[in-house]
Amino acid sequence: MSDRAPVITGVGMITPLGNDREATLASLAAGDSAVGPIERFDASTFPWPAGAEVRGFAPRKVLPDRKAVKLMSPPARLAVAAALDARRHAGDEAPADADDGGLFVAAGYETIDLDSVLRMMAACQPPDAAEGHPIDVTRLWAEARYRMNPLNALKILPNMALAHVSIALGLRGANSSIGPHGAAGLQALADAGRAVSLGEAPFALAGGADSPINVFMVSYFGAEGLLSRRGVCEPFGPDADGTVPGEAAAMVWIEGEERARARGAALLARLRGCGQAHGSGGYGPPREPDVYLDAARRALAEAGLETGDVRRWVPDGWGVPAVDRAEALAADRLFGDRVPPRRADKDRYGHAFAAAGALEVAISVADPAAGPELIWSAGVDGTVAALVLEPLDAGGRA
Amino acid sequence: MSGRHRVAITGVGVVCPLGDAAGPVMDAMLAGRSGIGPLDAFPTEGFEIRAAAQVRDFALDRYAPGEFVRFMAGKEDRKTELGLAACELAVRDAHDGPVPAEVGSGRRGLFLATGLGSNVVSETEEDFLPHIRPDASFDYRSAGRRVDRVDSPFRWRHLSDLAVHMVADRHGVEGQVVTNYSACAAGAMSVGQAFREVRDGRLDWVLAGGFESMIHPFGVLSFQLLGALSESDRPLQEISRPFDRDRDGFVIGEGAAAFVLEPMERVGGRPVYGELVGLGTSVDAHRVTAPSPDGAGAALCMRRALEDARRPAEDVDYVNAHGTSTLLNDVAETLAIKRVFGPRGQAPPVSSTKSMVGHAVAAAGNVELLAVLAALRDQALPPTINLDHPDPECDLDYVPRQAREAPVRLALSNSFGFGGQNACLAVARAEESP
Repeated sequence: MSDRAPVITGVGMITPLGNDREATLASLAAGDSAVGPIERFDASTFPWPAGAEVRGFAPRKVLPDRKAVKLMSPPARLAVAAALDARRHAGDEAPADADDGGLFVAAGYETIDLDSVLRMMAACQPPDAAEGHPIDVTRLWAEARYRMNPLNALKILPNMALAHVSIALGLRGANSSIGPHGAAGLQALADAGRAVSLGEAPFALAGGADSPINVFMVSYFGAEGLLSRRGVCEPFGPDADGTVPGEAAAMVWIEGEERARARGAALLARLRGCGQAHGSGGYGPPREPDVYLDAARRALAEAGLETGDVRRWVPDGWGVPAVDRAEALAADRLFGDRVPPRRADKDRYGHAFAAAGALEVAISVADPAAGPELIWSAGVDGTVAALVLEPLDAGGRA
Repeated sequence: MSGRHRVAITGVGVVCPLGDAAGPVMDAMLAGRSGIGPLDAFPTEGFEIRAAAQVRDFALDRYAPGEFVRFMAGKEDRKTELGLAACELAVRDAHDGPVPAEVGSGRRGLFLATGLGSNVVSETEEDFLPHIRPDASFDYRSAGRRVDRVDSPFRWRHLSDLAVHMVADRHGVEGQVVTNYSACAAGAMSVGQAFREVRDGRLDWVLAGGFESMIHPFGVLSFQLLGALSESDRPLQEISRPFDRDRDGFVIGEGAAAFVLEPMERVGGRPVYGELVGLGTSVDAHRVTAPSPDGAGAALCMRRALEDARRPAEDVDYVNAHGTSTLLNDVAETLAIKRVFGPRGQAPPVSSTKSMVGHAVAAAGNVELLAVLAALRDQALPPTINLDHPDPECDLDYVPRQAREAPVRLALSNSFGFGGQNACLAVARAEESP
């Protein structure tokens, strides 16, 4: 291993199961589930009744710049909370090389602020308009704009999760904001691992943030046939009929091995390899096992490992039958009759899409497998990212 | 293949206010021609914003296969159409046909930049109006009852990344597919990340670029509310005036550009537009509303691009600036360039193509990469038009008004985004690289 081999020294999360790493892990250990009826908006007539919502999160108490909170979209708030949690866990509070600290964040589609849309639309209609009167654009110029938040665009841009994290943590290094689908979180980790191993960044924070429990995203994923009408997510279950949207942010502190050892950090896991693939079988998470298989083989090849070395498999586990079948078939082909133990827990925290892959990594780091572990996640855009994680002896500080 | 590879740009596709073919667009940039005209994509009576750099007379069926034209019919999704067209043109330019079969589909990548979905007024009306109560509140129950139907609201017909999936399928891309959302730095980052994948031997063929149109009422209004757009009453083609003392905001643009990147050893006798040699990125970590005024973040990304290219600052012959024509950017970028290269006399010539093509937001770094390729091709510096009275705080050589002949072996292209993300690409003349 080179002295810049990327190792994980901290993870942070805010999830439906808890508002930081410790609370989430405690809920997981207790067997809790956070899936329940959507309360964020009145979803009582929607065909997809359930979600996994972050609860009791008070951004103004948690985030360092209270004034900035009103400028932040829901995923940006989650991202900053998880980033601070990861830095705490890594014990890397004021690194001298912060200017070079990398930042790779995956986020979902823009977060439309329904209230501001409604205000704007109301203002675009003449005062005496009948219900359903079309929008008069010229009224936008006349008065409607004065009812809008002038900073709205900055609030909804997908890269604002990254922007607010950079400011909160003072990171100015190599970076990229990607998205918006389910493979993006692992892609961000792959980018960070490469930035560290190439020496472009001595350390990097990487992960994802998504807050899809709103009328737009529930309608979108629902219309794509991906959400459960029964309101339960049952990965690989016989009655599975879709996933449940979850909101979360998960961030992973990655640094070169030599740097981590030099500062006496606990080395929690090694990022051994990443692989990606894209399927052309139509819109939606791939229903073809080959796509998962290709991504996994590329990740294992980069890791220099054989399938027999894998001690745990973390599939995406959407709870969408055709997707689950493809994942299971891919595992059968990859591992033959020696499929390693599987962890698929989205029945308890839902699918956090752009944050999902990073969240699985964060959970796996906290609950290490007996050896190298293969984690993959899939996006509605047909992309699959796979990552090989090797747990290290966390107790053994260098 | 593994190891470190030289990365050639072998195909260029562009649809921008200056045209829809790489060669003529580069000619126009060197000729200092403006693509800016009246903002007339929607009713603007009473709106202060008069200028835009619009793509005129665009029709998808001139570029894209029938299946795309049929799929996009009636969707009014301009940015997706621009992206589909540019990607199609780039592949055609590189190969005069489909991607060669000897490039395995698993070794192909697609890296595209985009921004916000380009919603149109009629869609907003259809989606929302049936569910707005007389008191202007939203009737979720009404929406929920229709959401499962064919005419459901919120169908998100304008998914910002729709073109990505379509292009990946069309060109058999089964390696990496990545959508970059790094605001105005996204275009340059997409090309830079793609370059790294080819350089480091993970991919053998990549299509990289970006597509954008915010020229719709809500898009243009968003930028005006941020105070970023010029409300000048000058003649339209004089409004975008980067580095000029009288500049007062940018002109909104639109467009798409895409590039085929391949390892140099696979090029054979095909023409090469330029060699990508470095990517540098940074974040200002200052404010989401404004760039770092001292240019520190922007300087970092230029330094990192040169480190990545393993080239010293003295080798740079030209910098294509982000140069938005806003008060803040142009001063901060000038300071950044001086931090890296020193004062006028030591710093290379700099120019801003946004004086001609406006600000194409997520695709800006892609459209502007053509200016760098033009400089490498003709050994001439594209001008900053309208630079009549330099701002005393902008005291570099910005190639005012007219192109100028000069040896160009290595050039940088800057792109800085809302939120503080910065990206810089380093591009060399193919035969000049070590």
